[in-house]
Amino acid sequence: MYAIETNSLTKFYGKSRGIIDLNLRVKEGEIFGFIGPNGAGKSTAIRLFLSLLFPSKGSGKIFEYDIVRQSTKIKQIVGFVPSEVHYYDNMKVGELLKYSSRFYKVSLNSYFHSLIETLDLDLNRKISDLSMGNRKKLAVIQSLIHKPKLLILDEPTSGLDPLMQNHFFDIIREANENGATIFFSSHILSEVEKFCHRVAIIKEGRIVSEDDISSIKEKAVSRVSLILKDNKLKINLKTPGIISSEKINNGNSFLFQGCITDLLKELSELPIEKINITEPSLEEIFIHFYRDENMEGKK
Amino acid sequence: MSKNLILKEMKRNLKDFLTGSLIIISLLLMTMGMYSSMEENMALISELYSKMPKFLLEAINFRQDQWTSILGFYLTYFVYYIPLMGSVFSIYLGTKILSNEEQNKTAEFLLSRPLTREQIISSKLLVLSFYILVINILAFLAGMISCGIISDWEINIHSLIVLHTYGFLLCLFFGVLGFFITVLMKRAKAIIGTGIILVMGLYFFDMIIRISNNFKFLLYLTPFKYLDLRILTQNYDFEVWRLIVFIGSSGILIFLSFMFYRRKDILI
Repeated sequence: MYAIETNSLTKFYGKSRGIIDLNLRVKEGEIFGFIGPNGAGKSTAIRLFLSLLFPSKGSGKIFEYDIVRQSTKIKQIVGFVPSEVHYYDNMKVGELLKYSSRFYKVSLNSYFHSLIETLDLDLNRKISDLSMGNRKKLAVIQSLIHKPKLLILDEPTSGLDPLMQNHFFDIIREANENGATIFFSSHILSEVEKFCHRVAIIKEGRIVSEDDISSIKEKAVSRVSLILKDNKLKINLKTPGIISSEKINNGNSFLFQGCITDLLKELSELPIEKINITEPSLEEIFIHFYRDENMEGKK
Repeated sequence: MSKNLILKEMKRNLKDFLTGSLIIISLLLMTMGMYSSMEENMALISELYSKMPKFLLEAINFRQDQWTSILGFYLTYFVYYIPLMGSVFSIYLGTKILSNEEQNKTAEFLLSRPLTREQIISSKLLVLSFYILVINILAFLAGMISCGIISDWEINIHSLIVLHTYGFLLCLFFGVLGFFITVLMKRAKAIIGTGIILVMGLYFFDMIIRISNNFKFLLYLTPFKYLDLRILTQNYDFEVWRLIVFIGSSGILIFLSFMFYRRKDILI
């Protein structure tokens, strides 16, 4: 049995595209990354899982339950952290958590108190006074109080500082070790790489790749930017793996997918003033690696 | 229904209910408080009104013979406080109780709890109906007590009950209509204002048609037509067809609300 299983799940908003023919298989107990740029259809897919939206075509199941006909049973076993947290502003943190817990008929036990302590959240603060980060913490806690079998996280780390992000990942890993399946939607590739077992990449409403994280890592690329001491100098690098090089002020910038040691060895012989190696944006990765696959898929 | 949601909605809409009740009841009591002083100058006021155009008097629900009794006087102002202000309050609450979740984007939270759409809609409708009922009961009590005190309790309380029951059913209809419109709208922006404009528009439409000699049949298009305001006539009582119109139309709107909301996409 899959934790999430969709068959040609499609959603159109009138004529606008939401998602098209989404076929996902998320195994029970895994941490599954769902990655794509903003507007790719990640939130639409999640809202279909939770019956906030209804499919235009296709079907889906969460564990054995149909996402349209048995949504109440699904929500009983699912915890959800939305990308943008909107709760009742005039409520206090503690009131909202009690209100939420009553729907699941659970009491706020020691596990709940440990979450509050770890994420350092004040139960007496009004929701309207909370920062974006604190709202996110509240969303994380409310998603876990009923110990869900499936945790759906939609851009969960946005708004959390790095220290809180570490606490957050520890909490999610612990939930996973205790049996929860994690569906992790993000547009940050490095986050998904670190955290997930498998990943699906969505672009313009379609899945363009679904793979183990190791396969994705094989496609890992870096953006290398060089500033040369002599801006008139033209360079012609021989190291294999250089993709789409372009001229920038006083130097070059290119995507690199290959042996970084070999590249650095070659670069050390050049008159370089400054070198910058960064992770490329997700959009760049899509453009260079998944566009062709997507086109082939469409054919 | 969900007890948790009902309690939350009761608390969430309490302020609006208290404000609405306070305005309607205080205006009603203030008006009745003026009766004694107006009674002394009734001849002068009647003369003043007699100089006004008939269609205008009809429009503001003033009839000279009506003013000679306390119930007639009460009726003159009742139409502003319950059929008009009560309906405005009802459609305001009816549109707000559901649209707020989408406007404040809390619908995502509510709809990801283990509740059926039917539970959400029935809980909210219950709270809406409860507040409309209570505001009407309070208005009835205020009306009955003030009329009773002024007339040394020489009033027909049954007639007041009938009048206020029609008022309640009209308010309930508008509350449910507001709810239904919200369900129907793809996005719930500006729906509260639209609802209030709808009630006011229908009220003035009813008023204009009433004073015109032609197009009287158009009155059947406004819910106000189905109110029976002939409180001063003998044998004033409930009329089954009117009850069927109000209860039936509200029932249909509730049924349709359930139908549409079951499969409504929540766009946040």
